[in-house]
Amino acid sequence: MHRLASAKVTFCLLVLAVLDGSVMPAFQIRSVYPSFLYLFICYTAFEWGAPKTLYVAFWAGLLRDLLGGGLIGLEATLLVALAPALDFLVQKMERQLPGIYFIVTFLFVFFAGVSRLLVSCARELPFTRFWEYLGMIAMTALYTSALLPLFHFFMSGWFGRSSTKQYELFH
Amino acid sequence: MRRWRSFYFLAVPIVLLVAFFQYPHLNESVHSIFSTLTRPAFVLGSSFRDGLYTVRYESGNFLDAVAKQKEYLARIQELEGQLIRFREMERENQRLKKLLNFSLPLATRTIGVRVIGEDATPWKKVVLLDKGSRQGLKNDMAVVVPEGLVGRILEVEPYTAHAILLPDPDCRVSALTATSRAQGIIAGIGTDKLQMKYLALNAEIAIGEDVTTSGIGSIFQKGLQIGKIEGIERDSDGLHLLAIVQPSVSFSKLEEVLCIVSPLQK
Repeated sequence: MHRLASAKVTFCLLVLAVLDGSVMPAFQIRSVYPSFLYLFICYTAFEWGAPKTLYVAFWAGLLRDLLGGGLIGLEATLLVALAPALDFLVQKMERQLPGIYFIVTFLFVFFAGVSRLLVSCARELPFTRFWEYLGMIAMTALYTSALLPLFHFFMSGWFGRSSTKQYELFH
Repeated sequence: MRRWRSFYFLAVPIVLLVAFFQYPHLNESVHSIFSTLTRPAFVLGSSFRDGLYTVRYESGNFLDAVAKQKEYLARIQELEGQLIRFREMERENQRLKKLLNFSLPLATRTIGVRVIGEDATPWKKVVLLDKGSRQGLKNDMAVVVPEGLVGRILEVEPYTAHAILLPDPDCRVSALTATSRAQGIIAGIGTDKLQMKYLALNAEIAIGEDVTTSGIGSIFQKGLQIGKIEGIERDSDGLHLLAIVQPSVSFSKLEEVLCIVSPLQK
């Protein structure tokens, strides 16, 4: 059975979605709180690589769409579009560079937020508040990427370390 | 072939997006099914969140007690555990009493609901409620707490509902200043503050003045507290005044709310 098709990943995605929707607001700082679904996409890219990132990005996006109560498929499309860029970045990055995983996660969450913001601005949001929203996205990206070591620790325990990539995540 | 896989895979969410955009009814149905199926998980999650709030609020007191009473650590921990539970029960009791006292003088019937989930997008202020159409909730019902207006029901599913809060950029409420009786529109901007738009240039509004619902339109009844004016400036179009309003409700701490069953929906 394909690893990503396993019940483990499905269960993990559902639990992370419930955590994102109902538990993480308890940790909000100035209306901003982290998203575990974004972290799971980054974890997939770091540990399993392409094309699994695409599948996880699709399901994570779909769950975020369903949680938000908006148009289904919007976030899924944006995340699937960003997933190849994330995979490319992970392939090309210098893994020994301190903090590189933090930076890549920050960039992914930031650009996912920015793309969502641009779509929202085109549909409903006033452009006058663009910079304020951009600040909120940057805060979300910072907060989310700060949780990466903890998230990686729990996910490695849950899924086990990748046998093909024996590098250390954090130095 | 492999490099094109991502492009093929991108087609799947795009097809979904177009389909759900074309058929909003289908979009609502899928949301409804998802909300109904995941409701128990969200109720469990919100209970856990409430526990976390309690731990967060009580941890300061708890640490003080540990520092002062090291020799009684075990006993204090046991008592603190009980105390946290009792305090939470007391707070819940006070909140519910307050909610009940508030609902009695309201001319219309109300339905008490719990907030069990929130939209993860930072500027969107949409929450998931633990009751739906089976419990009598309907679209566009006003959502209130004793401090004032919270928002309105956006979508109703059989056992859950989504409510849009005042700070959401999509939320608009017709409003009135309490003293100068100037009319305007309250609009959310995705942050903790609200904007009161389309105020006449000669409106004699003052900082600190209360803002309430004007009752224009059929959704919100007249006189529901919205907030206080915190600042006044000229609108970018130069034709109106724009007031910054500090909402009377703390939207980040919503746990229980009331939905007003308006006479039109009885």
